[in-house]
Amino acid sequence: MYNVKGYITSKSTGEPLIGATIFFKQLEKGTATNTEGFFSIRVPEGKYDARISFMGYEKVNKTIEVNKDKTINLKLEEKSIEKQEVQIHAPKEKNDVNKVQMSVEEVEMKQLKTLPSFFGEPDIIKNIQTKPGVISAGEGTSAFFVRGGSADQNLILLDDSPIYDPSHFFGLFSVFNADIVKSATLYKGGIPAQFGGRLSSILDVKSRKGNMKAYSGKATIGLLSAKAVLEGPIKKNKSSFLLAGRRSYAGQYLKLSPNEEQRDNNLFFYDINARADYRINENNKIHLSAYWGRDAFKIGEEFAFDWGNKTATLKWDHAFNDEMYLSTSIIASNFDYKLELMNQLFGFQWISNIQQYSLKQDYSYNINKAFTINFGFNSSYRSFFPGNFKPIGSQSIFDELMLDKLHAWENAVYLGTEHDVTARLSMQYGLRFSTFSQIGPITIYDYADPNDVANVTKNDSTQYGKGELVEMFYNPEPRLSARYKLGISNSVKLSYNRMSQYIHQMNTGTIPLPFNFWQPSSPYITPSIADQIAIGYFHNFSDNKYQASVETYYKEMQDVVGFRDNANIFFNDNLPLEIRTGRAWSYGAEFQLKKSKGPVKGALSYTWSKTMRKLNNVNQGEPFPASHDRRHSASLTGTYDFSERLSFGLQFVFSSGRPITVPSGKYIKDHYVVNQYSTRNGYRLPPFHRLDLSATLKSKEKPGRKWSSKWNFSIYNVYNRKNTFTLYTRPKLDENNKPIGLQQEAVKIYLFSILPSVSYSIEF
Amino acid sequence: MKHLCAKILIFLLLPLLYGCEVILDENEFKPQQGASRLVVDALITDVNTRHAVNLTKSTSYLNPEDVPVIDDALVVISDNTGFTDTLEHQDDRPGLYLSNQWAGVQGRTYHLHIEADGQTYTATENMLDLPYFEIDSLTYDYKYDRHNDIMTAEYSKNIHTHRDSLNQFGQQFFGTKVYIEPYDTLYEVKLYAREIPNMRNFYQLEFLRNGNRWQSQNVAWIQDDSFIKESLDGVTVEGNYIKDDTVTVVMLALTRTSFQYYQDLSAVLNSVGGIVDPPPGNPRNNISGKALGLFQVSPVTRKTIIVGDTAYREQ
Repeated sequence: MYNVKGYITSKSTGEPLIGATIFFKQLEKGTATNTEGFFSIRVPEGKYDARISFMGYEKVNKTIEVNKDKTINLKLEEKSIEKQEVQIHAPKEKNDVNKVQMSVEEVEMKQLKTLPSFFGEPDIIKNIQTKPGVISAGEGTSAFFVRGGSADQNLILLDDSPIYDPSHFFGLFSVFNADIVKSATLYKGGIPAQFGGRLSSILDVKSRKGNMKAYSGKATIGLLSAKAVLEGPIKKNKSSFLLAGRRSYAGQYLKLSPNEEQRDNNLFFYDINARADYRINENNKIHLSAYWGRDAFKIGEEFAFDWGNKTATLKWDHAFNDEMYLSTSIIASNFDYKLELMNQLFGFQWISNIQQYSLKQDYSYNINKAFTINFGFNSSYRSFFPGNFKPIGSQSIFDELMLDKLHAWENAVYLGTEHDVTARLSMQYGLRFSTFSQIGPITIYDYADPNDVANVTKNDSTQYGKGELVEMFYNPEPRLSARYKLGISNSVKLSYNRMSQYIHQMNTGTIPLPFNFWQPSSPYITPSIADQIAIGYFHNFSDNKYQASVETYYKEMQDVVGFRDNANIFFNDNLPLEIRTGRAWSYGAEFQLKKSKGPVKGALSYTWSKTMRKLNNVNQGEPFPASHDRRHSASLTGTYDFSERLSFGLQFVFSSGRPITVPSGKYIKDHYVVNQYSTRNGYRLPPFHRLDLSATLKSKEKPGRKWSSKWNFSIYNVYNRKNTFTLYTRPKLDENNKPIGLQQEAVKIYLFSILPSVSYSIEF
Repeated sequence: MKHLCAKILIFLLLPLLYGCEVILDENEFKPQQGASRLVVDALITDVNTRHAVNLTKSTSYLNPEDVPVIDDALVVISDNTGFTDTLEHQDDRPGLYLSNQWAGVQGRTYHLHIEADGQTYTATENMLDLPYFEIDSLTYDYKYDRHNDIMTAEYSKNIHTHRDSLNQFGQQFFGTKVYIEPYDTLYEVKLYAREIPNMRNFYQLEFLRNGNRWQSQNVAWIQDDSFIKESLDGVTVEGNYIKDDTVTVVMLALTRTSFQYYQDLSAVLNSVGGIVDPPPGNPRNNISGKALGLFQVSPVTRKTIIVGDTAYREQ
């Protein structure tokens, strides 16, 4: 047996192709490239016809003679659109039927750019929200909920660095600039052992490498924002850079407002992505990638709020030999915000942040063709700073208040396998072992009754010095995925995973907002644990043109974090008393039909699910629907390449209404009309649905012209439905703003009417 | 002012800023009806007076009429020294029960016993005996004189903050409106007070104009003193006043239970449906039997001035 290995890259950009396949016809076996575009396979001596293919690229047939270990680097050429239409026989080796992994959703980056988008800005998270098993809290938010998990149970990674708040403009946009994203993968279940730390999902976003061969760039202007990307080699074929920036100018519109007050307001965001790659030699590559983004929001001279993420990842990929690889990453992530009220009497400033530093190593060892093991560790130090509250202005009535800074250290080791047991049965199984230690300095109080906010009695307190261990938690997390091929075009899959989560977002509402800070597991908050089992059936039709799947899951979550009625989490030094923990469970069935070839591409999905929570001392201890419980949700996304220049996109989303708590009566206290409540989340808002359309027109190609341009037109909410964002009640007032007796009125808030938008981009 | 901050955080948010509102009619919003419960509004103070207990019941959300009252209840107040007083129902004031004239005593524990509709309800609360807060003085100053176009710097700042800015973004959520009344000259009243440091105290401030409380959707200021400086120098009292108005500032010391009750009440009054704010629920209180309302026992400090009386003119 000899080893054949090498890189498969894109001819035009030099970018590695992930999941490209090499297939040896005579042996009827093949392999796919890893995230670095690298493949390695052991084959007996002989002369073979090999087929190298990747979706959207020209197939290459090559005769390979193997009589010693061989390195073959291959460059694939991108297919032109006409050819893609003709070429319907795409690689068979990599598709949903064959993959061992189930419950995984990919964002089709190419398609994303043709689909309708909010204000013409393609958005990964908005696309994720249309996938089966994923719920959004409505529109205008970057929060998503996976298989009954809350928004803080998703680990959002950009080049392995956690993003603590993925929103710009409170969620209208996400922090991900689609122009720099190579891939975005959402794991909803059967999560591989190398990932951990959150209960419900991993959203793994990878940036792309700068062009190693030639300089190129792209600039886009839209109605709300503008962006530009520049990339190119630093040293040709050796090193490259990529630099991208976005800046919104929504605030500029306010300057045009007829209302003078409005002109004093401002809101904007910007973000910068930078990446540098250096290929030291065949066996060593490093890259540095960084993100820096900020939102700022100001009302008049009084109120200012700004927030943002900063992340940096330094990654070194090393091949020891043909069988063993290692990647080592050093990661830093910071999220912080500042809130200011500039007022003589009530002026204050509030700052808060969370910081993380991590070191991780991932080893991969191909023991033989049928057995690969992956192992590694991840060590993260975090500091949580819930807030410093400081008066500003000489007359401010406030005193300074500094809440305790918290520190924690999370460690995990894992061992995972990819095992082809028989020709039909393949498995991935592994174990992750995680530990979490809260460390000093901190004072921990022993509350007499941790559920009683009204009579705060502290029995005892314990002081911990700097670095001293307060409490350590640990959890073994078994993971399993199995695929059994029933035939060439259908398979069944089964998965189980246990996940644990040691950091918790303090969010009492439905949608997390940037000022919802995080807290570690501690003597007050037990780590959350989720067990999920999923079974699926996958069937491809018409030579893999259509991929259909059904997945069902059951997920049980223990010690999830919730909050008491009317909880107050801000400036609260008895915060643990506001928290109510309990169990949550969710089950559902997800149906999906995808078409990823031909001029018409798209996906149709429907999910039936139910998500309940039962928290101590909430809703009289009775189970209640979680605020992200939706019985039905469905989506249809599609693109149509009408011609080489013109393509159309469509997106339709539907979901049952959000459960909310509404009054069941009213009474008088202190002259106020007060709502009486009986059950939490006992009422459903009307269903949510919306249709968006788009059209993309590319410039004519002219010989000798080095640039191309593109117009994108989109209409958001085509039939102008006023989807309910929230509903509340208030006293009914007469024309003089005086209450009319005890009469109450219900008010619904909706965010967007029909919204047309246009953007223009130019590429060279 | 914890109260205000939390509200600014929650309500001055972009989603709502973009939002448009639609008022739903009774066919579009039909909440499920809950059980009608006893509502207790009881206050015992250390002022020598007839203390009041108001008994009503909660009613259906859609009921446009007044809430039902309870006129045939037995209401007894007692304390830990053996003192007992059975309250007298006021025939001319439905639902109201008054005690004999006496002053609550700081340091004592008070019990409320109610028998109504065949059920017994009880509550217990302490009258705090610590000095909390001293009101040094109240002063007044011109706020706005339309004839002479005098606008103080303070007022200009205030009107900007409260009326034009805050109202613009969250009037319906804040509920507070700036009362620009059709008088030519408006006055503002300022409070000078000292808070006794080093204790975790809670208190409630009420501002009365000619004996009436400013009516707004905000629960009268409730405070957790860990945020507040020890001395308040010239804090502007809520509302605008005209000449000859009697302005009273009342400070009631709260137990933690009462403080929590008011904080919850304020969250309920300001709820926007749990989208970015906590899920609303009935405020937790100190009364047994699932009754709503509060048995409040508070020592009181108060100060009164008459606007226009030169003795109180701001120097």
